[in-house]
Amino acid sequence: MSKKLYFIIITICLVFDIVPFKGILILTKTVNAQSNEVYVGIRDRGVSKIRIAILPFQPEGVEWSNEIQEAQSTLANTISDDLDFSLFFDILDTAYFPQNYIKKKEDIAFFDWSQLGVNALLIGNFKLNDEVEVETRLFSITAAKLVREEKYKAEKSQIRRLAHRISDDMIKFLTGEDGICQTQIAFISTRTGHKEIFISDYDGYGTRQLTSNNSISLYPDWGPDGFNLTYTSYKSGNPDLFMIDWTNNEEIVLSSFMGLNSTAAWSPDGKKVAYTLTKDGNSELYILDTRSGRLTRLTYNYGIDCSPSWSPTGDKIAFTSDRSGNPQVYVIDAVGTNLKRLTYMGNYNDLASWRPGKGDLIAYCSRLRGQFDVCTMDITGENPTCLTSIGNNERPEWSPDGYHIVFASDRGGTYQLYTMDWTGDNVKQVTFGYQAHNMDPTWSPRMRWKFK
Amino acid sequence: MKKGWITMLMLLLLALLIAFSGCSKKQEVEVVPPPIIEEPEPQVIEPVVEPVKIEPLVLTKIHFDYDKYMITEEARQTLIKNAEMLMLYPDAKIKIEGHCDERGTNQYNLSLGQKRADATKDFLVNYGVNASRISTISFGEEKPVCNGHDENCWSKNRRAEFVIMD
Repeated sequence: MSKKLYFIIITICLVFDIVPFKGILILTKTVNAQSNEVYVGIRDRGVSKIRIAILPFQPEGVEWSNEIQEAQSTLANTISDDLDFSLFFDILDTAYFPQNYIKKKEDIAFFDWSQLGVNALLIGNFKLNDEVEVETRLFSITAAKLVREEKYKAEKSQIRRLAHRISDDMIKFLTGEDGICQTQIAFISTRTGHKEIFISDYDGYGTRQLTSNNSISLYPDWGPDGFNLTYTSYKSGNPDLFMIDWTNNEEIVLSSFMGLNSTAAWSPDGKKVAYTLTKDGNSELYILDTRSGRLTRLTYNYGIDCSPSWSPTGDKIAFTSDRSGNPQVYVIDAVGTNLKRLTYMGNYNDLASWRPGKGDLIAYCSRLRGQFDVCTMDITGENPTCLTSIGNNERPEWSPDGYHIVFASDRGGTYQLYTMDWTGDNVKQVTFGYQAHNMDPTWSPRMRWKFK
Repeated sequence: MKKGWITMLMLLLLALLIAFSGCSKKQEVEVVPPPIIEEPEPQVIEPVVEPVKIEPLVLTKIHFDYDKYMITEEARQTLIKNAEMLMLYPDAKIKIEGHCDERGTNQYNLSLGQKRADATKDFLVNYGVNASRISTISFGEEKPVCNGHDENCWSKNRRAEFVIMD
């Protein structure tokens, strides 16, 4: 109740610009809990975002060239897209920039910018040789001063990744929240003629092939520490569960019981995997402790049980079962008690994905109009809301901050990956391909890339 | 003296001659040539075709209703024939592959395909085929036989296939 009251006060403050808001731009990296809630409020309501202007980064010391121009637009576009995607920011379109917005390097037209409602201004310079060096300066327009200066350096080929780092740093500094701009998405692609795993940046750039099994690979799931990924492959004949371990740069067989070893999901603590085994004559859920190798059976039912997803606290598991006659989403305690059916609309509900962070929603796939939609519901099963309406939309997976969903849709003919906000807005196509399908995504945890 | 020498020589010659002629007389015993053993022509014996297993081991795939893994009546008839056939070949081992159409989710279809393979195996075992001869695998919707997006193709893809193992 008091939380609600607090939220209302914050909202009033935001609306009337009476401002705890003015404080933001001078916040340091140690942000108190109160200001965090302000920004959670921003994202959940989708209003009163931080208005930011990003000036084109200026090249230093070299003659103008196509390469320089490309670097300039890569930096500007990537940072701008990242901040927009984060839902914290309202990016001021360059068309609205004041006349002669930079007269001199240090001469910021604070008044002009504040007239445009701008709260923050990002300025940058860069040098390009074999490496790219970027200097950023962030100004608070409301406080009329420089609040942060930072230098970055990376190999030239890493320029996009460097831009993502700048975005994450800005988000952290201005909101106290960890950004997701350096995250990756792993997915299944048919582009080689086989189903192999590929990885790209969360915005679809920088795609590279991870497996070359010349076999069927399915259902990748990125471990919560970022250093491992499980998937099912037929490369040894049977659908076995494999784990790619980047810490030791190896791949191990995690589970190879006769029959299915599939739809694996990492527990939030990264110690256990919940998955489907058919070794006992029926499709049942099991939990494998990946360190001790101990296997615990979770479900006992003649029907199909599959596709588990852990709650962020790790004490509950949502999954699919056809025990009622067709696939529906259920929830069960991770110790096997308190089974409860969650979905009742339609005769095909599958692929539950528990929202990380707040843990208040479950995304899932539902077929109500003959094709699949991505929907969300409360963890009690109430308020089912479908977020898509064109084509088939399958395997929703949350971003690590719980504000975005990646899914595969065949709305354009072939299956491709799309991202959208948790509300279903801002749908963006992430992968492209005329013949090949790209599907079955999993979103990495937050990452921080090393540059050199 | 000299005459005596010649006479001695003549006598010796005579004796030799007699001895020789006696020898050649013995040789005159007819030498019977060894009998020609007639080797019999290696006869190619045509193996007698046993009329028991006229039919080669061919197992017919079965189909399923949408999102179901129950054996339909039509599939039951096919499976009875398959089971009878398997009993004629008691050494044959088979793998049953369960498949689905494209409409469900890939993940659920893996389990559904396994259910179909298992239901098929159960039927054969209950009919009397030794369970140790049968293994199962699910390919979900990963290996369609028909690539269209209509019921005509979907019904072909919802199937259990029999692979005869070596």
